[in-house]
Amino acid sequence: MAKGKMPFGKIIIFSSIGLFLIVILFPFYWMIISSMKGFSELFAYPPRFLPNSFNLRAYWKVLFEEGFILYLKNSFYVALLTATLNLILACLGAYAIARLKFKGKALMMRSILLVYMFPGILLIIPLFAMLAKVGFIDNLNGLILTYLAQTLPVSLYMLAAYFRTVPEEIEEAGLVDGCSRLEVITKITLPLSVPAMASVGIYTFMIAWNEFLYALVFLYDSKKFTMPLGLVRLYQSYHTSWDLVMAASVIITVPIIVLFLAFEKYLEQGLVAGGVKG
Amino acid sequence: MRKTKTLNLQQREARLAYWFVVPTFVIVFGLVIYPALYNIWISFHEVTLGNLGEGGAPFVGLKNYIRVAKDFMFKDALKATIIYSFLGSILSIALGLAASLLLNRKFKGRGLVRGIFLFSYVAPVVSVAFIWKWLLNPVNGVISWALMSSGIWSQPIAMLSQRGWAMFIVILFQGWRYFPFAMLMILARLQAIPNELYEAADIDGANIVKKFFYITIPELKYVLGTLFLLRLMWTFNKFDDIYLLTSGAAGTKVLPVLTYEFSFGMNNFGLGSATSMFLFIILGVFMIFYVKYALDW
Repeated sequence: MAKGKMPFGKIIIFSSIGLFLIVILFPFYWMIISSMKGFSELFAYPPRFLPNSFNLRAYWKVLFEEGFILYLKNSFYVALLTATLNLILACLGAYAIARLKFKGKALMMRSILLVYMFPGILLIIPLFAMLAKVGFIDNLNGLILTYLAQTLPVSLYMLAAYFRTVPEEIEEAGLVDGCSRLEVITKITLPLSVPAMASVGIYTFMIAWNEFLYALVFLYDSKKFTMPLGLVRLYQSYHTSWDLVMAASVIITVPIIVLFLAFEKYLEQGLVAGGVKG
Repeated sequence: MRKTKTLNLQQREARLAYWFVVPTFVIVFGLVIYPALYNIWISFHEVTLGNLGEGGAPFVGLKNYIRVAKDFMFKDALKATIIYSFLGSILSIALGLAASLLLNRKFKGRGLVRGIFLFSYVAPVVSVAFIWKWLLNPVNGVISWALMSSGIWSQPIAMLSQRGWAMFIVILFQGWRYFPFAMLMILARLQAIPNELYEAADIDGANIVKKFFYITIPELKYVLGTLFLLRLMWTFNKFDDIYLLTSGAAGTKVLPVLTYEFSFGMNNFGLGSATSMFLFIILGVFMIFYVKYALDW
């Protein structure tokens, strides 16, 4: 690099980074301050970029009068259960694929990866028909099952790739010492694979938390709504109450951003593996 | 019992492996592969709310496909889908490329900036869609105010409900929301480019533009080609973003939204399935050609 010329180049680079930051962050900033402006300040002209007061009334109203406590509970239930079940099933499946020999392994792996090809919109009609037939409409567990089907292939793939990096000699030493396969898995392989498990668990949680289309089609009873559906319903019933809509948006977004900031390193792996399919 | 005892280690392990994979296989087969096939069946039958999930729906051959193809909305939806997915993919990749080049060199706070760059991608689509709607509100939105007070607009425009503008916004949303995915993939590749290439170019006196076009871009060729395939595939099938932003109004009714409307608005599931099959087939044909001719893996 020619050092003498850098200042000008640096100015361009840093102002470009600054521009990116503004374009990314401003909408989030606007969401937060809009949720805390009073109703009259919300529609002030010109708009206030620094609100005069911090008003939490919208949050109270959204949580306790518009049912968001319940939607939060439903969303946590769905996301936590999806992540946990996904992790258990994917660990077992991935271990078998990475370490055990069995007939039809390659075929099974290929057919599971084929799932990548089938988007939600293609499956939504038959899934609706199937769930309706067994009475799983308005059933959060039915929703969890469909989320599992969508997320398991990527989890399996990510975990199997990681399990292969665990030195086989350590596992064999365990077997020679008289451990059963299950003990080897729970005492050796899994403790060594915590980072990969964290990635899978977090990205699955995020998908289940953010998912919209399946929830829209499978849930009708507002008592069963997850957060995204609750937000759409709120918007449809109060077209102009942007303070409420923004407060609800903050409530949906904050857990994900916190999770992301706390576990960025792990989450990125899931993002690159295309786990979000978005 | 005796049989179990005589299994050797290899057989026991194989049996264990089956137990491990069976739950995943059953779920994925039952809720992805079976419904994908069932969707084909529905598309050839007259399926309404009354006979949904029953076996007795009358077979109608290609009638659903013909009705979809002849529907006045189909041609527009196909055009909108193609414009949306091509331009949206290109924009998100271009922005991702720019962002990754900016973050490729070390500076103080790079880790934090990189984290913030991912915000729009990890945040729930519902909340960011509603934020955009609020920002773009023609009467009280801050963007409308900025454009009016700077004199660019003489009167407010409801961008999400006007033809042309609406498509522009949903494409912009694609770029804003999904560039981080491209950024992560490109960044990983950029960091693998050997520095010697740039040093050699420096010795030859190449400037930054030349280095970009003769070293960086060729080195990124594969990752850009793959990214385009992935982004196009996902955008082509994308429902949430447009449904939330415009509900398919003002020329943004893409095929996924049309699929949803046929099946869950009109309760004509056969028609909806046929629309989604069109989506699948068109995308499949394009991908085969793309992988075969454009992408030299």
